[in-house]
Amino acid sequence: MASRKKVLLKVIILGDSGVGKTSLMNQYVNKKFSNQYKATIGADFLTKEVMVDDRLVTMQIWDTAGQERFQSLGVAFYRGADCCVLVYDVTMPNTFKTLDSWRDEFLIQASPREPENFPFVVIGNKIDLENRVVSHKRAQGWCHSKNNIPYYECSAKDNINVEQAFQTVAKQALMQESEVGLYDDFPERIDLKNTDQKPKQSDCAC
Amino acid sequence: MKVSTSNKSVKAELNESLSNVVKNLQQESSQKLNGNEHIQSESINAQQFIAVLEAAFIHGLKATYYEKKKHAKDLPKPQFWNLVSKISHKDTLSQAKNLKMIKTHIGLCRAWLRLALNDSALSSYLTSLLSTAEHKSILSRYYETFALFRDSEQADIFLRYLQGAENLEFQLACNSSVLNQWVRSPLEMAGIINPSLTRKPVQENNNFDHSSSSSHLPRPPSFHSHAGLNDSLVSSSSGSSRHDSLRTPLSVSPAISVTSERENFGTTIPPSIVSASVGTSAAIQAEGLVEVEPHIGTAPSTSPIQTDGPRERGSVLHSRHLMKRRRRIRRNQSLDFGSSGSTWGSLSSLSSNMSTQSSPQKELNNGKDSRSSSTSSNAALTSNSSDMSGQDQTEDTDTQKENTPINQIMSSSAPLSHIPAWRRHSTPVLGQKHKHLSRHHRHKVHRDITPDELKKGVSEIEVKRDNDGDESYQSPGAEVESTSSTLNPSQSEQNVDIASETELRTVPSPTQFVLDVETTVPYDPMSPSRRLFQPDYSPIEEGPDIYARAPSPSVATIDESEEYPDSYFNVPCTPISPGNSLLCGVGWSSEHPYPGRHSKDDDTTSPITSPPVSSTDASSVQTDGKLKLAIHREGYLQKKGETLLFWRTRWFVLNAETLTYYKDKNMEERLGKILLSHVTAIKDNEVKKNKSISLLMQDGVQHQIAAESLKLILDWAKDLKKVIEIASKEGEEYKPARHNTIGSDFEVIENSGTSDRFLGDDVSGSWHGSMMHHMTRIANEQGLDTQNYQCADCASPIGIIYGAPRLCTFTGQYYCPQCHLNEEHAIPARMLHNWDFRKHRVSKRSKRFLSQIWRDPCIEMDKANPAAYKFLAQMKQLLPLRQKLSSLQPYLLTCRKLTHTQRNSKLQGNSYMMDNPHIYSAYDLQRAQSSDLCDIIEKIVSFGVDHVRSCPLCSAKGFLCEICKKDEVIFAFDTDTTTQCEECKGVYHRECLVDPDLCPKCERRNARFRKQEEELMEDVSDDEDDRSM
Repeated sequence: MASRKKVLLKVIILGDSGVGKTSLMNQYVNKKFSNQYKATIGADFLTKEVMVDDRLVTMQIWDTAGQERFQSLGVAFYRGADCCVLVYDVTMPNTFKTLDSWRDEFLIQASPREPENFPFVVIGNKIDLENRVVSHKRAQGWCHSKNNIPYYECSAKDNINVEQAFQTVAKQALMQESEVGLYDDFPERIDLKNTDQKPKQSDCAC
Repeated sequence: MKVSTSNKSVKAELNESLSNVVKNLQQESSQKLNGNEHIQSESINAQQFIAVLEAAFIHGLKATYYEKKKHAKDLPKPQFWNLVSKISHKDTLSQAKNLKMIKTHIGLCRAWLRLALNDSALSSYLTSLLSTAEHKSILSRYYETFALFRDSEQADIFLRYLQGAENLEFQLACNSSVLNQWVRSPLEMAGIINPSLTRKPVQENNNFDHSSSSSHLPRPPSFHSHAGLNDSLVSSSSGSSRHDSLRTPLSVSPAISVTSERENFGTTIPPSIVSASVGTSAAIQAEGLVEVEPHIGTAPSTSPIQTDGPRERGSVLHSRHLMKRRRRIRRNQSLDFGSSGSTWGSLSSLSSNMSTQSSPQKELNNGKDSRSSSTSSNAALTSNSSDMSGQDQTEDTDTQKENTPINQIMSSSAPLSHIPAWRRHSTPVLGQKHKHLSRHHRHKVHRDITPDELKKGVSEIEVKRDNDGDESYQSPGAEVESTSSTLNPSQSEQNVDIASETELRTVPSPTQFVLDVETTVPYDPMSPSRRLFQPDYSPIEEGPDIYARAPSPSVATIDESEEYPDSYFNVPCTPISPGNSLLCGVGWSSEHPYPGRHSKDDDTTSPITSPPVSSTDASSVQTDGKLKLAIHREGYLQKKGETLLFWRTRWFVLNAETLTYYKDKNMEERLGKILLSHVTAIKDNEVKKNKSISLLMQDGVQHQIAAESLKLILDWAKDLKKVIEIASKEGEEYKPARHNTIGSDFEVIENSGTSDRFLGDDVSGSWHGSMMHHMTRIANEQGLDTQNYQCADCASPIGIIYGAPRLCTFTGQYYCPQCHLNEEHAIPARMLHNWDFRKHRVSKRSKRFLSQIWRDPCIEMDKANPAAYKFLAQMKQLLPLRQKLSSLQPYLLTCRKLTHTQRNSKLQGNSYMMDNPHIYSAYDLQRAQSSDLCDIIEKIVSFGVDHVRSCPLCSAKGFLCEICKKDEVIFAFDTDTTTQCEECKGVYHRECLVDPDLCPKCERRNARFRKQEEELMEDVSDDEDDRSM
């Protein structure tokens, strides 16, 4: 708010393969959906400019490969992320269970300054499907247990809740970013902001 | 012993030549006024006959019956005395042993053969040898399976032909030291030695140039030379003139050229060719001389019959009879060197002439081509010696007297003033001190002649002298025909003109004469044969002067080999055909009508071999209704490497159906051969651009060759096309129906049934499976019995009577000659395990398979031969590179900033290398051996590393060391500073990860895994709860 500068928010989407990470991103960025499954290889990002709290921010959304076989690629891009989106498939219980490890892994690899307060967003995808397995209650419960992670149930196919989910992501990221970004962009003001915002941040995170 | 693989053809040739010779013998004997006159050793037919018999006896003789050579250069010394002593009556044996001049086993064998012929017992011997069971075991002990005598069919034919000569009475000289050594012709006929390029294979009768000279004039079948002296003089002059020429090129005397052999005027061979052939024959003769054992003075003075081998005698005879026909000769003088020279060997004088006339001075002087020079000098020596001996014989004492006639003779053909000084002063010496003379000349001429040779030469002379005593000489000559005559009508006319000129006694001055000669020589800058003679020849250098004169004895472009393409190429060390010149000489017999214009000697019966096929002239001669190729060409060309696409200069030899290339013109190191019958097309669309043509092979391989000049390459292309055309025609005729290979890509399936039969127990699955099996395992020979004596491919019977099976090194199985063309290919398994990159003989099918799979990455080094990484420097070096490459793969494959084309252009089809660092294709191994692969991979790696570091997307996909948590992005390919966990692929600083087993990521993963298992049950119940809600 203080700065009207254009900000770049780095968002990482994680989750098992096939949960719909790429579809969510595509739906959000390009408003497109394809029924065809094409495994993402490596990692790549799309960017989208959004208005968050009257601020124009550029979201750099990193879509990653959920498949194990791409572990031979490093995840250096985790570092400097402003928000992490954990995606699971509501019809696949395993994808929900692995959220834990995705979160852990992310925190270790990205090594954010304050791992406990790092903003995550959890998305249960494919709610358009009928054979839902992972209940809303269970997912919500898990999110609660992890420092009250915002939880959304979406359908990339039907474009349900996608916009809202990412809006939250942007907000969360912006909160995280304002801190980091100020460090980077305005070193002379860092001290002030830093002292001011740090306690505030911790409050907000709760 | 080098087993020539074209044993079949050798056998067939032997039979063919035997039949021809027997016919000629019968003709000869019928021509004799007195029917019961014996056939003597001098008879050219008899000599051929014996040579064929000798060849038959040594063909396929087991290597154990070869005597050791004293010198590497010696001829092989097969001897069948042991065999002979098994089958002959002891009286015969003792008779042979009692021959005083016979000192060696070889001599015994050869003498026995003659004795047997004299007794008319040879066919009986052979009959018993071939048909009685007891002897069959003997045969198998002495002869290889492919031997003529063990080929029941061919041996039978041989015997039949031999019986045709049964009623002839021979009176052959046996007691001669000449017999103690082999001469080349039988060895060549038997395919044991190959007529080398430098020494042209002499035909049996090569010595009898007089025969050629007589060919166009009706001549009494036998004439005894009283003119020996003159003849000898002439030849000596010719021989020595050469020496002279060495010193001063211009001193070449026309007399020389006049001397002897060129009477067959009408027979127009392009002089260049002729000269080359002449040179070679001379060389051969020289060789023959050397072979003669130097029993100086010991030669039987009594020998009423000609004692020595054909060659040695030849020159003498030649010289003796020469003079008689001198007039005739002179007419044709210089023009017709060719026919006589090419066909009949002992053109010593001619050859020397030729060399004087045409051999480039520098070559001789430089002596760079020591071989050729030495041979030529030998030739010269021969001629010298021969005439000396002749002289000796007639007039030992009165040398002075002789001297005059000589000079007169010489002057008749050439102004005396042109006679080289040496001759003038040497003639008087002749009678008195041969030794001195010859030595003297030798020294003058060639420094590189060793004293040994000299000695030999001298002894030779002596032997000759002794032998010359016989008066019973029968002239065989009438049958020489100038085959070449028909080839080039226009040329022949030219020659005739010149000839007539000479007839008019307008003897040209020496220099002029030379000029004449040169004009008759069709200038062909590309004539490879001539190039051969350029000691300093470099591919770039081509000039008229080089080519206009060149023939030297060594040229001898092997044309005989045409008929033996297989054997020609299958003898690895000496890449020259076993060239028993029989085939080319198809004929001594009159059966072969030569197309085209015939010279006046048409009426003579015996055609001789087509002249050494000219380098440039391609001609096919119709013989027996079968097209025989007479295309020969050789020279330096550039060849594009098949693996490394570099152009390299190679010495190419086009012969019959093969195009062989050697490292250089010495032809010691054969680098490859291209079977022209396998060429599907010649692409010359780029010929204008880079003077290159491409030969497309059946198996998809493409050979690109280029020449220095457009004309040269076009000429090559022309000849190649001719050969291919004819080859394909023949191929259609002779191709076995079941094995139609051309263009059948589906043959693998088609034939799989038959080949599966022989796969053996250890190999399961399809033909392809077994082939793949052999990719990494060296095949062992299983033995013919495991194949039921059938070709592993077409199942036609092999072995035993069907001829020698051919082993495919790749499969370890045996094949018939149709399925195994003796093609060569490197064997992947041998490369893999033995680091053996030599080419081995493989069957047709294996070859195709190999060339198909050559670039397929199907060898897993870590499984097939993990030790390679330990012991092979190249592999040791490759491993880390390949590992780097494979750790680069995910980046290079996933980066969208790297376009597909960019990537491919860098990888150049090597992308599989990134998948698995241990995977190789056979081609890779080959490249690895030469370190080429290393360079290639290094390039790819450095490209990849550069890209990854500079690309924001790729560097985002690097690793962060989660132990030290530094911000530095690290990569797996930074093998110096980082280490990668094999399990989870996590990358850490080398110093951070102290114990590779304590990878933090792996620990987390394991913990998670355990936790998951523990929670499995709870989860199930939770899910149920969820659902109920």
